[in-house]
Amino acid sequence: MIADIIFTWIAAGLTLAIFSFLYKDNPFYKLAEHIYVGSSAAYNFIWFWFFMFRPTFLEPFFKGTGPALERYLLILPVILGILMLTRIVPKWSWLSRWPIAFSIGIGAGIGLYSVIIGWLLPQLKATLLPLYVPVYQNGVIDIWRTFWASLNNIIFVVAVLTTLTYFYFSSPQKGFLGKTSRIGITFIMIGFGAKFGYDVMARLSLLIGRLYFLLHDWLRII
Amino acid sequence: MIWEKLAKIDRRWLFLFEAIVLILAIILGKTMTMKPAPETKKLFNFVENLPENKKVVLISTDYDAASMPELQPFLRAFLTHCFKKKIKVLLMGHWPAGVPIGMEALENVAKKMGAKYGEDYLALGFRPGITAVIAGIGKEIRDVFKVDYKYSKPIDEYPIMRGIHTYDNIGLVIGLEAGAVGESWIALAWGRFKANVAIASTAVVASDYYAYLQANQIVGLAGGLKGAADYEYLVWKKYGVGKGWGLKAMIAQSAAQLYIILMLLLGNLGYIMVTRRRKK
Repeated sequence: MIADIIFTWIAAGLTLAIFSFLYKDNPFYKLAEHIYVGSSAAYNFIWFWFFMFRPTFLEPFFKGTGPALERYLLILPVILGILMLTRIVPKWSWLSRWPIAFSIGIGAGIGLYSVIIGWLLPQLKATLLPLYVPVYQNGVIDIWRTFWASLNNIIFVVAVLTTLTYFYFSSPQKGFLGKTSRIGITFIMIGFGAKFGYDVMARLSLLIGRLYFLLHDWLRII
Repeated sequence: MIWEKLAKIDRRWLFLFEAIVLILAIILGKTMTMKPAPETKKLFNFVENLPENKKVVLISTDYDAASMPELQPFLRAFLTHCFKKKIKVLLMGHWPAGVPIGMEALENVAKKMGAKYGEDYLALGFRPGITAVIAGIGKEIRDVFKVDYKYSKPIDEYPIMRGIHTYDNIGLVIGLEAGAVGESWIALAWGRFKANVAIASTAVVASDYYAYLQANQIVGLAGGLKGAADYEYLVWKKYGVGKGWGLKAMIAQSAAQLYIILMLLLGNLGYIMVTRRRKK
């Protein structure tokens, strides 16, 4: 209980120290910033040791009950990992190309199929939309809903094509190409606007979260 | 004259007023009535209609403390929904801090809902290698998670794991995302193993996932605090429980958004007035 109170006060103090930067740069902010960086690094190191290195190498290698060959094979990734560190020494840095090549090869092997099946083809398929979408109600075409459904698809297809045109650099962006790419950039800007709106919401949510902590957990006003 | 003064106003005053608006909204606000977004409703309905033989969800908490205000309310509401529907919950994470944060919500909600560890829910924990983990679950979950996170016991010792081997036995995989790990879930779990994938993300990355929603690659999407509030509202409306921080925080969110819009309008109006006066 006392530990909870002490840690809440420390957290509140650090939060206020970070907020103090809004007024101007000051030693309290610098202190909180350094504590954050240091504790994050320490946390990641502990996590790496207890949840990566120990369960995936140390325990199976020294305490494992599996076949000897399976255990000795675990040395290979450790050697590759150590080779990655040779980048620090310029004379030996060429050795780091092996683990890099290995990771790229594995990554490409696993990823290529998934990228095509999981991203490229479904996204491509979702773009190939009919420009006329008849919507029926009681066996009769509902003109109003047909109009909106078709317009939606037309806007979608036009947006995709014109945006792609904007990124076509093989010929000068003049004339027809220039005009379509200008439409494309309008759609890109609309997309950025929506993304920015979400960004504002995200940052405000974090601020609300911190203020709630100060008012609820620390000051106990609410 | 006033416009020129306003144009030169110290921005720290704007920060202060924003803080006042938010504090007042948090203190005075109750809860908000929501109109849930269709994509969140879709996710809710999907969970509602999970078939009896697939009443298992795999939750991946791929975020850390920085994203808690946005994703933790969603996690609590989602877990409440799962336990209400007697859906088994498996928790894992691709971010180092994701699992302990997820556990905090899981233990909390499970206690409230009377769910038992090992029977109704299980923490699988973290394993390094995003691609290898996602692909590994598609072949056999035991090859990836040999022991559980809480007690380090073999996962076969827990009754919840009976009959759960691959994505075929899991009704829904939901990624709580503060980054791009969700795209790996979509590419691998959905693309390669045809698992049902849903995403609940921070608002910053939510717009990236709409393309997958449009292409029917994910069954639903809850974006940012609004998504969390929507889900809380849907659970509360149907079961009378689950009202939490998300709905309350949306009042402060709305008040702050109104304040920003007002400042934007005033700023632009001031700019126009000042430039007009200078031209004269």
